[in-house]
Amino acid sequence: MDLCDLPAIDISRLIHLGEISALEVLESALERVSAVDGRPGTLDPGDKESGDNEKVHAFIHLTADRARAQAEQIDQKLAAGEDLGPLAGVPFTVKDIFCVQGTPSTAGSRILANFIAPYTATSVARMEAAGGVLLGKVNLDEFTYGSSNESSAFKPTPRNPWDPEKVPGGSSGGSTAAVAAGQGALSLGTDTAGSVRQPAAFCGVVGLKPTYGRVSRYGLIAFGSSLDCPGPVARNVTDAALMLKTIAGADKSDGTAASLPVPDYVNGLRESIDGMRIGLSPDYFRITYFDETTGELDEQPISAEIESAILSTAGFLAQMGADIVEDIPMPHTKYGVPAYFVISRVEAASNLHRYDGVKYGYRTPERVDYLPELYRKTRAEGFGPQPKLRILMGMYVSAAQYSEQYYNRALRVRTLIRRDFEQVFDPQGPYRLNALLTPTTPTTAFPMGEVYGDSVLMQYADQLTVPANHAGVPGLSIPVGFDTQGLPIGAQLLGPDFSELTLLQIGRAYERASDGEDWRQRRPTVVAQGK
Amino acid sequence: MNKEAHNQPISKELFQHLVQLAALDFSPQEAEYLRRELNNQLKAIDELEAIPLDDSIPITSHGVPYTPQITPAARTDEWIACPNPEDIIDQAPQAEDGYVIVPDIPHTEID
Repeated sequence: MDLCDLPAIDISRLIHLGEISALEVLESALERVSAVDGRPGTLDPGDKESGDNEKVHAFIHLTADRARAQAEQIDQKLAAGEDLGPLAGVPFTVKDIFCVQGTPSTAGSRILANFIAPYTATSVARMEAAGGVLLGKVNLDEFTYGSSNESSAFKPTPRNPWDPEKVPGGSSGGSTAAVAAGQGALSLGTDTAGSVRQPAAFCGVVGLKPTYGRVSRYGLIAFGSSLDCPGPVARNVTDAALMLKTIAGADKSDGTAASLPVPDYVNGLRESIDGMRIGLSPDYFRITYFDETTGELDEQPISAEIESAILSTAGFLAQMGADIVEDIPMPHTKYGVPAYFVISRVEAASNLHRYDGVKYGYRTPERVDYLPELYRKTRAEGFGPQPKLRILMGMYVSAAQYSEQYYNRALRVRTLIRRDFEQVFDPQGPYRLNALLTPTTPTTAFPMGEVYGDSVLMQYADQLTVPANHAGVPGLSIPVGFDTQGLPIGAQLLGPDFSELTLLQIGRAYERASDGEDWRQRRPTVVAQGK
Repeated sequence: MNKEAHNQPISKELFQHLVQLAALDFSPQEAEYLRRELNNQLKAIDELEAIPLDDSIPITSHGVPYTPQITPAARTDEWIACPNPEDIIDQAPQAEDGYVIVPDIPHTEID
């Protein structure tokens, strides 16, 4: 094990004790990047190079010089006896959908490829203020629109560290692949339909979508403004708690950031889960998928391996004192994706109108004499197919003659999805759950190129995660084992508004209970081979 | 509705109209792919029609209700100077003397 493989909380503790230096940790992380990451994603990657398919390609921009300056500052502060902060010397990466002053902030899109952010997102600023060392900006689906990372304009796109022939998931796939491979202990992702949790499950790491409003969105390049949640990616639950504690809380720059006090998520992990009521819902053990040949939606059970891993997780939680409650009805789960197809597209279309080649970003190099032509050419050349699809669908379903049929209907279905959660978490209701335990994803990581291009099938990768985004409730994905292909399986914990501490406590209890399991010793293929 | 219209609610003509509104531009191949994807997405969206919705069900525009306990007080309306306006103007593809330059804007001369 190298220094870069240590959990964030241990790195910070050892640096505080003076046993290791921030610079040593950073150099270890940079060595790991050069061993496993391969070339970064660019707009003009040229021909495929030998070895591309064995590397992770998490990064778009490595900020090594900036990181060295930050690490040196931490070491100087320690020598001067100054306060270091809870993330002292912890290398972290940021999904390239957040603005960081002075760095290219691309959203994985040609249209923002030359944009240098003039300010820093609140959540990034808080991590740096806590002593975190920014390793760089990592790849993502273009504007976060995808579940495999393949839609990024920056290629090669990230690959799964456990099997580079598989996708890392998305859209925070650069974040989860980096963390799984030891390229930073933490990463800041975003989750609009499952974009932290789904790739966390695919890459065998912990991913947390906080309650909507728990973490400021200031400096996050917007997708679906009523759904977007910045959230932590980490290798264990304690690190996710440490990171959430750092980034959560009110922000004068974001009026939607809740003014609720931030609990001590780390010390709170010591609490027992004895007597907690954790539900299993049959509605999360079957998937609906769209059959293009028949045009019908079909239902089928999720894979037996994933079901068995989730039931085994429930068994461990029962050993730790939780009451497992079965047959919890969540009847509107299957409408999450159809409603999302409408709501997220309307919000995306609205947010994407600002990219026009005038104020910042890409402008068509062709000579145009007329402003509307500048808009049209710039947007046609600058956006990839996924943003274009979202703009067109958003405009269609919100048009005056269709909005009652589509947009308003979807917003009312959203009410029903929210009610499912309110009913099962109601402390006076029939179920009185503290949390729901579900699979995070219907499948494990799929092969590169298998789903990309089919925008409907890709969206259905999010069907077990998107209901939490509609409802605004928090969700935590934790690794709970591997399938027979050697790919990680994720379990999802969902709770009522602002119950992140409860979810983290349950996740930590599972880690303690399963600590002796053989699978916990496994390391990603790229790390084993990169040594 | 005839079969074609039912299978492809977004016709070629409607697609072109959306493209104009969206200020986009496509090659014929790209247009055909995107139109097919949009029509497939609409088939999935049509699932929503199967849900009984009575008039009492309100819309939810965001999931978590903003109660007084979690809603931050409105900021005071203060003017704060931007510390680095040139970093913002510098991002414009074409700028001069602090102004952003664009091609001709459609307009009518008034005598």
